[in-house]
Amino acid sequence: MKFRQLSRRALLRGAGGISIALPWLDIMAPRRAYAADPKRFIVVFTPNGTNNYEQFTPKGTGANFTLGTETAPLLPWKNKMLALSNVNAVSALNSEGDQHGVGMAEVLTATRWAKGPAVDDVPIWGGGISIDQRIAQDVGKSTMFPSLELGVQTTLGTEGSGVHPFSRMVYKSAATPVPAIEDPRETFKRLFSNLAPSGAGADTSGLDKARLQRKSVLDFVKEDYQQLAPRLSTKDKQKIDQHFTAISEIEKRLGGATTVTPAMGCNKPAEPSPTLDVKNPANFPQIGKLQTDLLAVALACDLTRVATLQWSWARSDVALQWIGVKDSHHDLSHGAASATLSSINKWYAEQVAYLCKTLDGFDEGGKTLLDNSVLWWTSDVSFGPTHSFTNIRALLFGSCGGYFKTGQHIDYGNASKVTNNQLMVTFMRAMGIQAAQFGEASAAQGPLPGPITA
Amino acid sequence: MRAQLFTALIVTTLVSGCSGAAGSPSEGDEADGGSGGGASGGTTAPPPEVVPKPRDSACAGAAPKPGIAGLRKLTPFEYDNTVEELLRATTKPGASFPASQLVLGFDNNADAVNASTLAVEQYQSAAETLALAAVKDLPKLMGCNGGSAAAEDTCAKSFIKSFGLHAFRRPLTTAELDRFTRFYMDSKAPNGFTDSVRMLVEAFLQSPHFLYRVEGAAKTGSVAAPYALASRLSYLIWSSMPDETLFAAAASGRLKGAGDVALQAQRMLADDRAKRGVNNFFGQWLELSRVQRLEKDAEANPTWTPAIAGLLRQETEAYVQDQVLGGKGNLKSLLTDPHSFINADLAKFYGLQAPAGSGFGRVNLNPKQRAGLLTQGALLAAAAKPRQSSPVARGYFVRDRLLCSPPPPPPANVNAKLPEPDGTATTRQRLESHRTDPSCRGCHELLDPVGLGFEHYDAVGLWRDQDEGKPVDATGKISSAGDADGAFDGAIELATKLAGSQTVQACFAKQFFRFAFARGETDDDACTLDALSVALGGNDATFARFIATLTQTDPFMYETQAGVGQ
Repeated sequence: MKFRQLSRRALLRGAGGISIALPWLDIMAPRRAYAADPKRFIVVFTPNGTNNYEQFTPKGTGANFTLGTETAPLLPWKNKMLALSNVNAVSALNSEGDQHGVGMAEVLTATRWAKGPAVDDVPIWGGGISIDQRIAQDVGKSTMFPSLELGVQTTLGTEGSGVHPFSRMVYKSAATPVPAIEDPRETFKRLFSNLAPSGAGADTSGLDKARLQRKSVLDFVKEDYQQLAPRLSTKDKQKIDQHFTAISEIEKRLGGATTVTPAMGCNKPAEPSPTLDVKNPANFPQIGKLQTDLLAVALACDLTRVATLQWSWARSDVALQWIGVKDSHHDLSHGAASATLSSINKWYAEQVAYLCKTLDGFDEGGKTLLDNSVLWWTSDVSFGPTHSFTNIRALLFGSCGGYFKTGQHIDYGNASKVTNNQLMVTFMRAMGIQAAQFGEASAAQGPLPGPITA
Repeated sequence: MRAQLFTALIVTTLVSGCSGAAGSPSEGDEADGGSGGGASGGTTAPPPEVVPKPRDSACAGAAPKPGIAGLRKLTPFEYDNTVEELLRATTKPGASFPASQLVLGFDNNADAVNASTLAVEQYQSAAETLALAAVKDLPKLMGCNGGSAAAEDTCAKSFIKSFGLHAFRRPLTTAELDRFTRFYMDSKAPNGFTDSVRMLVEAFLQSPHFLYRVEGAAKTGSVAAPYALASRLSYLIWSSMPDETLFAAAASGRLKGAGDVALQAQRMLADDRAKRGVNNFFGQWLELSRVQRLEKDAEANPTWTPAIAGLLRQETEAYVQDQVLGGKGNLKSLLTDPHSFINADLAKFYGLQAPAGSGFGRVNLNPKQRAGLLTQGALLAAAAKPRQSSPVARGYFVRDRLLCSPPPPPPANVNAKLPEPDGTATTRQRLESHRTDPSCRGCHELLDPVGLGFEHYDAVGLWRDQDEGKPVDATGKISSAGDADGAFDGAIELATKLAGSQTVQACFAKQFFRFAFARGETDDDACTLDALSVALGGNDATFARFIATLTQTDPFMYETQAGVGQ
């Protein structure tokens, strides 16, 4: 795809039941041509690893591999899948502290954890910037949102009403977590409130006016933060500076000209039901599906190119009652492998497969949105019972615009020294960033070895 | 402590029974609590409770040690309450803010303040929604009317002044008045009157002076500024902004000293808003929000429903509100009173006689089966498994929340899952491996013997005489917990032991300190903690006096925000 303009009529025809025929403004204005399709980076997190490598890890290497019961739902995506075995999270190995915390702190940062405020005696926070945020620094400049962080009940069940390090995997920098949006209605609002006028109708002057007013309020408020900051202690000044930076980021978004290259069928979805109770554990599947749909639309409409979707939290206690599991996932994960446990991972695999399917449903001119993405499914630990960090979960989907050679399983073997730092470097390169290292400096760096690329 | 200050400002202003104030070491350990009477007793306010003398005589007369407090941000709960008072908005936008980090058990810790883009975006979104609703009735919002262009401007200027006072919780400076007025004029030209007022409200609601607890108007080492004291009081007792009485007191020089603060605290505890403050602290201390997220096995617990979970939380909230605000309650009675507050549905759940009337009412309990907080369904169900009790979780709760000595988390690589009930072995028997396996025993001997005291309560907190067909054995033992150590039989004896323990008093004092001051304690806070601890013990102790005592401590009375305004 070199240049494409979506006509309003094409949009009104829509792609499916969820789209509604609202005019959709800026996105439909003519856009500059891209040299190439935008590439997208997506992470999906599900908790507690596996208890059964036999049923999780593909069998056989190269193009001839099979999937066990835990990953069977991904079989339709075998040709668009790159399965990696025996990549190790060396930054987490031999790291003291609660192992789920250690794993969560390193899963996207590939660093040793950093000490932050202790929550329930767990002071374990990410030790550096997470890979999605690092990629967003480069590829997020041209989109309305540098990145999108979505979650599905990521804080429920961690103690009390607040946030635990177990609930955070995305980091701006050491010990500075980025929260995920937990409510699909908030996701909807965030994505679309600056893109549609408050009332229906094709007139964009209402939106323009609202944007100008927002900008003027933020301009004014920023001064309050600027004037207050010098009066504060170093520690407090950091808080106010951070707030100031966030306001500037939001303001930038309102500045107008965001370039978008929508895939076909980039339609504004229906607003999630106002009655959805996002705190009710029984709504976990429904919230996940809504977040998945919105994530896909955000990518399809090129509102962002970097997205994370976090299901539950590290050490998750979610009981997947909707598939008949009555016990806490974490409690079960410390027992022996069982059909019940496999059914949990299988259910999560179905959710990943649904995201693949949704992404694959967006045509980007011969290629699909999934083809132009790399989707990484990962977890806080590898093997549940021992919290191991060797052989981490590294199932990749989509070729990232032809960068990856998919349809294969690469096993680095039991004696592998391959690190997740190398995986991250490879992600950066796939996204067009010429990086040589990421995360823990002492870990093996550079891109992944082997016939990774197409 | 600020003994001199206290003596000068309170003892001289208050009428009776103040001889037990700090600085009179000869009066016994417990201060004479003045004329008694709860702070929330009635319409005629008795004199404020007197601060008990600290146990540690080194604290009397020492120089103030207020410590250093970091900049706090309104928690989502405080935000919702604040906009309810400020704009009469009951929409609770804070519910969708990103959750705060819980540090040391509480969500307000200043160290954890972190403004993510998402949070800031949601402040913006909430400000827009609130402002839009507020300008629907401009005269009500602004307290004046537009009309001519000149009248609009006059009205806007007076609005900036009065709304600014309430939003920033202190009068605006001249420079701020000028800035906001200019902003209004600049917005009005292209947008018109209503929109410019709406934009003003949006700007106030996104200012750091609204979203954060900015203080620092006084010099470090001196008594905090009157408006800072007003906010400290209101956020402590109401989890919300000051009311008109506090603003008026601050404006007129009637909120300067410890005595002024004690009088206000007493007044505020009698106000209905104090229930919110009580819910805020106890909700977090007892982790009550967990109750409504529990997954219970329907087969094993046929009467458990999500509605029951909500009602159990209400029961505990009603009980602690009565304990703290009813005038007579103290830490001892909190843990031992054989009554509770339930409605007809809960009566059915517990197998009790329903109270009169349709709502929640006070009922007496069988004192052999239930007495005090720890025997309430909300806590028992939360610290239990879907199909069985959990002596480990219950023991941990007591150790962590009441004794402040939680054992470390289990090491990696252990199977933390207990065998499921199989119709033969009791819970106590199934925990046997914790006692026999040496790698478990070290920590579990601190937990299990405490938690086994609750074995008469099943997975949802209902009374049982038998476990798997065998009579329940609820004997247990507390160890390594100072004066709380010793054997007991059942939860009532356990609660009675805890209720008389100075270890528990010190722990509660510490937890409340962390909540009240949004920080962890340091060595400098020893005297403050000691005074709080003392205020919890003794037969005439009341929660009202405890809170009054807290408002008299150095971290409460003195300027604590480092580096501001000097």
